[in-house]
Amino acid sequence: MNDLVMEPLEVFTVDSEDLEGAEKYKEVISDILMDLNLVRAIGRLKVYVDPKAPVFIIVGLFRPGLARLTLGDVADISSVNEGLLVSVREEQYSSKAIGRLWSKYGRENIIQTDRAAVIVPVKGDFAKQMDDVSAITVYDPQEELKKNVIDALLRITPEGFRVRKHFIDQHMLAFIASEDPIKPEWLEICRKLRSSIGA
Amino acid sequence: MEPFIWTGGLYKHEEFEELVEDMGGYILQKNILQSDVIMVILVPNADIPVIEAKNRELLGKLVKAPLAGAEVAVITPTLAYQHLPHLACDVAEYLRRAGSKTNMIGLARGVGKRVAQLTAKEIDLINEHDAALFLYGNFKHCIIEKTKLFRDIEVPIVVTGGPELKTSEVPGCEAYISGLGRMMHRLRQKEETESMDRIVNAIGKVLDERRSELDKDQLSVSPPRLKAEIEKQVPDIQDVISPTPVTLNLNGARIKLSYNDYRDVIANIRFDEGVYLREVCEIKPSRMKDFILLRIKPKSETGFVI
Repeated sequence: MNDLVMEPLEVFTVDSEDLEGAEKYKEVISDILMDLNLVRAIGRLKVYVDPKAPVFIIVGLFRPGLARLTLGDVADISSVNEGLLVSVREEQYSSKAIGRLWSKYGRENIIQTDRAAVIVPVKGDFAKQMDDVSAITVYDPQEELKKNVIDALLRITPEGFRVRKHFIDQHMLAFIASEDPIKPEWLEICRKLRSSIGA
Repeated sequence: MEPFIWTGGLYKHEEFEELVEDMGGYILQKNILQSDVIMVILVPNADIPVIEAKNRELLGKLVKAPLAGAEVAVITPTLAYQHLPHLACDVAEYLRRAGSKTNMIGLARGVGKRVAQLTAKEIDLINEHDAALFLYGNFKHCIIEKTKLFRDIEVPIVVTGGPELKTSEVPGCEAYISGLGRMMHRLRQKEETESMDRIVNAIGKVLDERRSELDKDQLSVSPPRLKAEIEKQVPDIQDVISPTPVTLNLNGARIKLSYNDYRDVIANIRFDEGVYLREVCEIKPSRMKDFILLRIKPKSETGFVI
């Protein structure tokens, strides 16, 4: 992983023998990244297109992401007679937070007092349970990012390139698509592109 | 006759309509949008000043419609987001503003270099139009490769794509317009609008050539007259909710009624001269839904013009 602080899209190139096509493709990609709010999330992006082969390769590096949000960040947790009262302060996370509690404790064990508040039964050590509940993840920007990146990749790829090979983790993405089975030399190009952006 | 698009208010628009009809012109299409009326009309050349005067009186807008009376197929290789909606919709809309009836066709297997192909039905459907506009992508190589799709298409073809290419480099098409490849934004920039103007001009030129070709052997009846008679003699056409129940082509029309139910009704339409429609037209099932397709026979076949 590269821990350098990156500007949004500090490197963004589209490489192709067809220079005019590459220029146009750059426009297409920036439109899509803009539509999906990915411009700030991606630090470096390199694309290689060879319409003759045909092959489409894209590699990118994500900027160090935002922190995860836990239940402790978005809810007030207090003790009541029946157990632990979790009341979600931030509306947008309420359904997700309650959903997580349901799957952890079972729906029948949870008393819902309000649209955004539930009572969780206390089992065993109170303090430990409170920590457990606060640590539940309600929003993971990485997860969201991954979803959007996959969506963007599918939109960017030329239509008809149905043979695909991809790799995505927290820090980088690599994607090859073609009409024909992926050739080893394309993997080599992909590797070179990756090392050129430090992925 | 000269085609125009008139845009005006609902109030007194009938006066305009009647004036056009009184002069022997035709209303090709009429859309009422709340209190606005948009009409595509055909006016005899000699009477244009009269129409212009009436237009001024009604405070309407009268603009030339170079593509009126023709049906254009706007073809994208797929219905996927790679080609839709921005580019295809904007171009189709632009052609409509120039008066044409536009149908958008997304091919089932038009993508990729190797797999791109047309089905027999798609070929027939495209051939029912007066001209076909293919919207291609950004890479020179792919555009040239995909000209194989033109093989069985008989109507004139106009192609648009991203790179600068000469028309001669794209085999099989009448005109190639650059600057409009795959794009994911609405076409608002000046260059993009200019490219769309060039498409309208190219299609207009192609249609003019087609018209002059048809003039060499005149059609037995003019398509607008055919439309007027159908509307007069087939009352059921009023119940069709499509904006153009009778869609004009340069050499015929498509009637949006079921072929099986209305074939005979249409065939038995009688003109004032005593001629039946079946004598001047070929009546065929259209590839679009179960509509009726009319192809007017030329004078050389029927021996007369009405």
